[in-house]
Amino acid sequence: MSKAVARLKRVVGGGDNVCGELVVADEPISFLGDAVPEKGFIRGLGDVAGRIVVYPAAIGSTVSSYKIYGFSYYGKAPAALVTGKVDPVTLIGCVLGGIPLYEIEEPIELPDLRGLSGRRACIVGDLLVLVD
Amino acid sequence: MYLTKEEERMLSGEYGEYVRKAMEVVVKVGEMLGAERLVEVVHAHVSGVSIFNIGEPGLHLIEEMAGAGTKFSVFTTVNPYAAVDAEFSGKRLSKDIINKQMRVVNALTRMGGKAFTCAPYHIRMPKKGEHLAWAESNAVLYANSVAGAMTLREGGPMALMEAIVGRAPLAGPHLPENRVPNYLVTLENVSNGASAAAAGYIMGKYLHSPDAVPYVVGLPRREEYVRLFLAAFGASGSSPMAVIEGITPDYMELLAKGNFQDKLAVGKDDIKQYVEEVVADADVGLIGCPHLSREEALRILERLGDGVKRELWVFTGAHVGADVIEALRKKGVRVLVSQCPVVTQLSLLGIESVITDSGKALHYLPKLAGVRAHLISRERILRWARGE
Repeated sequence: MSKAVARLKRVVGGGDNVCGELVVADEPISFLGDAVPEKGFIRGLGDVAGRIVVYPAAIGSTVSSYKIYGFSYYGKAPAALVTGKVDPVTLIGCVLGGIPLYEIEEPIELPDLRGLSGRRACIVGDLLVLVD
Repeated sequence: MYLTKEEERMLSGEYGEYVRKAMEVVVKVGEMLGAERLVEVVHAHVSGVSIFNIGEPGLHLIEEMAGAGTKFSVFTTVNPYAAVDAEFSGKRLSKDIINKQMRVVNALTRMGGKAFTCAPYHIRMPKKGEHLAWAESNAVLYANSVAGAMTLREGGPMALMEAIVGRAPLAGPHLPENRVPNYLVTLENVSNGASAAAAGYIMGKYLHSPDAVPYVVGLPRREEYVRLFLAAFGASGSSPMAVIEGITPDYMELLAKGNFQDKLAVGKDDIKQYVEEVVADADVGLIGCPHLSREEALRILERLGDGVKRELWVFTGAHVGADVIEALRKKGVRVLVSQCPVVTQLSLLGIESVITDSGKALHYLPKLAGVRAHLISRERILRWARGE
């Protein structure tokens, strides 16, 4: 049974089907300070390598781009980043790292997605779909 | 996206492989931002210099871009590096870390990067209406909000590419319609730099969207407070600009256009939650986030009396002047020039706790430096340093 939970806008392209376990943050992420690229890890969220990370916004340092790029450099990139609002700092990190980046378009509130951490999902076209 | 003939030539590789690569990235990001064209910039500022922050991926990228003699095509300043001159209880950073850090510094210098400060407005004050390509959130906020210049809040590697091609996507704060305030924020009881920093930090926690442009009422017109306020807002939020009553150029016209989605009041009790009154736990006092102006450094010097009896670290760029640096050092202050202890793993030196008047430093020190941090007014830090 698959169920669409959000409508997305593709910003930095992935393939047609991007799939992975969901990691959902209800607070904005400060990549500088919390991301550990060589371990594919974000403090407060856990492992992100190969997963779809959903979060409301990225805050703080303009150096965060290097952290996002770093995930790819170490072969620990998330399957995709899905954010409430794309910012230029995240954008360049994803472009350099080749990490798919999406913006949540449908006004589905993030708290509704919060309980979905750990579920398996795919991004099919412009929909985030639960597949487990 | 529309490109000029010159920009087409850069993209075709006529100016070399790295100019082509930089242009390709700038165009790609510009298209994603919905920019119709690029705009020529007069000054680029590159963040992402500390080896602790950028690590191997950053070192590799910067050295690669510096390869084949690639030069910045516009006036370019760069952020400070890790505190390679820092010493505590006889401990210093390892040779390996210092070597890698200096490789980053050398690569950026070869490309034409200058100054090594997070306060490029002390090196060249932007003019109203000028287009810039700045990274470093405190600098971006100052350029847009105080100088009235126009810049996106660029990521470090994006500013590096823009410095090479001398252009930025015409998007975000480069367009007047994106500079109109959309939140109304009232501050009460901002009486010193630390309380201004706390207020900025709280504002960013609530308004964390990259599109948020707060209209700020109640911030005293004092450079030092404004810079601490904006730096803290930059750490907890992602906005490129605030309109500050009495300070931002054309603030009245911008207010008249304002389209407020929400209001926020920051009061005494909110600020109290961040600013501590008593120094109870400190190995080192840190002042200089963002980097001090010459005037601020002189005011600190005046207040040091016979000299310091505790570890006071002040950080800034060479712009404060060799005379001031020497005078501070004679008073026993450790002056870190072109460096930043906030982006240095201070726990490696055996430091466990610090006091600072910077909300930005308060945010990053536990995460990046691995130490406990307390927000205290500059006046009180100086009294502590004097042994009072």
